[in-house]
Amino acid sequence: MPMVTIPNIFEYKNLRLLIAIPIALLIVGLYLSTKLVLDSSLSGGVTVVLQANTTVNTATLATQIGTALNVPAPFVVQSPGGLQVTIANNQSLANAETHLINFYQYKANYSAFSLNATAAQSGLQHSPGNQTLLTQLSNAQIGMNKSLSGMNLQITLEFANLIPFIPVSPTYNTTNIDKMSSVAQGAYTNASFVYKQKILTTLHGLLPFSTYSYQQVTPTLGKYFLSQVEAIIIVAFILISIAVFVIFRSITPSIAIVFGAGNDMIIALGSMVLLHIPLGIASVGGLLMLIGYAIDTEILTAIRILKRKEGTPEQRAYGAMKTGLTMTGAAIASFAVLFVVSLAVYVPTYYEISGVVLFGLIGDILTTWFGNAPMILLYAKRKAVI
Amino acid sequence: MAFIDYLRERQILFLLAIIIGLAVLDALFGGPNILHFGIEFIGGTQIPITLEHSVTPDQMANLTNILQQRVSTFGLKQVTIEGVGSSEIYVIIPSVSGSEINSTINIIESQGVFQGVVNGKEAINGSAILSGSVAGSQQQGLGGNVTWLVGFFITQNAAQRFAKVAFGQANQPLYLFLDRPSNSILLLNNSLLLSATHSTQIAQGDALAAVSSATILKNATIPVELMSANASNWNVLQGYFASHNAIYRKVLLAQDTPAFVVNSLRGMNYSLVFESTANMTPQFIMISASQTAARVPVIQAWPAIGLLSAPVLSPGVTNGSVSQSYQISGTAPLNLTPNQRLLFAQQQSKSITSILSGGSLPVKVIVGGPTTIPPTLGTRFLFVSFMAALLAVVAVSLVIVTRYKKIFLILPIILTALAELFIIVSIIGLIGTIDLAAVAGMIAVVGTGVDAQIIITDEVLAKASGQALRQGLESAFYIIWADAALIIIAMLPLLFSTSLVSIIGFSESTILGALLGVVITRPAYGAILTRHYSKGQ
Repeated sequence: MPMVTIPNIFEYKNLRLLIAIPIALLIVGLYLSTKLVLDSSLSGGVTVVLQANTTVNTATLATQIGTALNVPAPFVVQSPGGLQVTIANNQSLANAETHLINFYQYKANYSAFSLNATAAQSGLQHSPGNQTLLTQLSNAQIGMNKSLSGMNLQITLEFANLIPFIPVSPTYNTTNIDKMSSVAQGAYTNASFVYKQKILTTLHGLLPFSTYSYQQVTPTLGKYFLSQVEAIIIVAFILISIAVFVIFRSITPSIAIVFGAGNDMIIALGSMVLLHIPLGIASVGGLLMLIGYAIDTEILTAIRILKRKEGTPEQRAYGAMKTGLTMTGAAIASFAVLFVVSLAVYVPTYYEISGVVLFGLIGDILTTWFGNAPMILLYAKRKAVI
Repeated sequence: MAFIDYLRERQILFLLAIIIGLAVLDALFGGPNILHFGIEFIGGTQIPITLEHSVTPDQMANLTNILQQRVSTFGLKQVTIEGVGSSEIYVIIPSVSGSEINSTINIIESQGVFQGVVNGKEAINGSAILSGSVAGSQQQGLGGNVTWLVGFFITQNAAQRFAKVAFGQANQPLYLFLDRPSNSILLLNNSLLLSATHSTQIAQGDALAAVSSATILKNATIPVELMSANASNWNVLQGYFASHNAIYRKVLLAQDTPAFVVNSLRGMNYSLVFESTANMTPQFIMISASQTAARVPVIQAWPAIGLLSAPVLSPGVTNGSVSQSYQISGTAPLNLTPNQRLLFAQQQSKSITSILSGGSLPVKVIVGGPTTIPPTLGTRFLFVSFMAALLAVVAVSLVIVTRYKKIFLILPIILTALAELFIIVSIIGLIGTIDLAAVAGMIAVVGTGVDAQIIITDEVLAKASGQALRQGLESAFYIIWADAALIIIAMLPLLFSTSLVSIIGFSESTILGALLGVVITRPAYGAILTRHYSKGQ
């Protein structure tokens, strides 16, 4: 029966030359991945996803939105099914949030001092003229005044930052602390709403759409999520390395396999830069999938080459490649479906996951059969010679 | 080759049994409306809340509990509160209406309203208590006695008012309410009152007096209407409700109130607040006004009307003297073990502290801009996801058939993939939430799951029939087990992440898929193949 003829590359004399291919990819990937774009879930900011069928010039649209909102030009991605606009953090809003948090800190201090004052007053009723209590009272009153002026300053700064959204700052009464803090919180919440309306109105003015989803992430939260994504990837990588070592109990094959997984990830990140796919929280799923999945074919190859006895190592490697290519082909088929579907109907979660895995798997073919398999084959031959 | 032959393989029977079992569970507890779908699919809003400073996991659990309680006391159904990492909380509501989003935000931002009532008059309220002054403690005394104590300070004006209201009320209860309902009538099943009195041997007359004492408040008394079993006295009560809907706007009632009563009340334009049986049941204790006086019952807790505790006024605070500092204290019951006493005391002082602070959150929160997904978009996402899963199955089968040129393989591969999808959807939908990430994971499982089938196929097709074939299967399963273990290990850090909640579903699906693959579906596929090829040759 005629089979698709794939030459047995493992019978080439210069196996080492093959390894150069994945290493070259690794270097290009590393260079490209420095230019990776984060979406707002990781960098903070606003992401609006529009389900629109209109074709627009993304560069022009980005400039128009930037000018209208007075922010750096946003990152605009277009697909047949929709449009994703990622707008960087609004600096005024971020500053206002910082001042609001400071305000609450002063308020907490104020409460603590006023409690001290009451306790001292209450004590003075029982022992009038007690010097310690009098000192405590006057210290508490000084503290209260300081905290109050701190609150005043922070609320003024907050309102100043919110002027683009709330031109007339709300009034408040410095004698009613609770009302004051609800005014401070209310202004921030309102400003967020105003900003949202402003963004949506701007977008409506530039292109027609009816269905949209709106997501806002503060810069602190974005940074936090990014650190979590990094931590999870690193932990997964370490765990996988340990597991691979436990399975093979020798250094070289384990290093070859772990190198393969890392290389796939770098290639995936590089491809994302080339294809303008931003990295978001969802991508972490894809990256982990890649770590676990890239290893599938590599384990198969290593086990077939090192632990089986039929035929020559080269033949076993070739057999493994046939099985492995089918496996990767099947996986590419299902992720390609997800990728195409997510492009057709814009679903960022699917887009971010399938993009990473799809291009990672394409990279995996090169990494495994030109890099990983030759490395293990060389190792097997050397062991056989010894 | 009869179909029935395949049923002789226990692996295939096992897979069928699991599918039938889950189908029954789905039918009983699931169905398209009850399998839990995330807001990406049903539409909804996610409101991020930033905490002023980061908190420990314990404090986070406490915070989410308080918020959950607060939103449910306001009758907001299906609100999910999710802790994210150590300084963020997501509040998720299945609605995109602006007014519902705003009212949820208001509830989160607002504090509860605390009221202390003595003898039908408000003696103290939330604004009287100096913020930050409430502090609880427990103490282990002689003879294993455990006492608890909550101290607090009140403002000068409030102190004078308290002294006046409490004057002469020694040994009377101070009813502590949190969010006491206003403009409300309580429709109480007589059986609940009877069961409460039966267990404590209280005469019904005394019980009714206690109910009246707990619900009375100047200008804001909550009328209690007693309903007989099966609402047999509804014709009498109906008249009362019909004539009072101008004064009262809400009715507090049990969840199991007969439908005709509910409809009748709705017809009278009352808004209805449904409460659980536990919340509707008053809890009595016996107290006596002096050492010689007879013991009478007092309601110490009745969550339906916001009554959370009822400490007794000590004679020292009822003689008219004005003080700004107060304590609420108690002793754990002696019939508990020493450890239980300590827990009881801790729990009591915690709950009193929380009531006096107006149920306020221990950490200040900042409500961020909500993320909204309209239901139409959700429906579209759901349809697209369903299509993507099916297309993935088709695409993968095509790859397999092209590679092996054996049409026979297509059916087992499609069937095992669909069986796997069905099992994952059922399990996650019944005990978790199906969100975009979970579905992406399921589609990933279609592609990765089939890998194991390819390894099996290659090993089985390569071997001759009989003994060698079984050997081939065994060596295939070694590789499959290793692969599954590695996928699971790679996903574990995400599964246990407390912060990336939006994507955890992906790890749930893929881990579940890998487990199912090695334990259930792949052995079944292996059995089909072995049977086919060993018989066929």
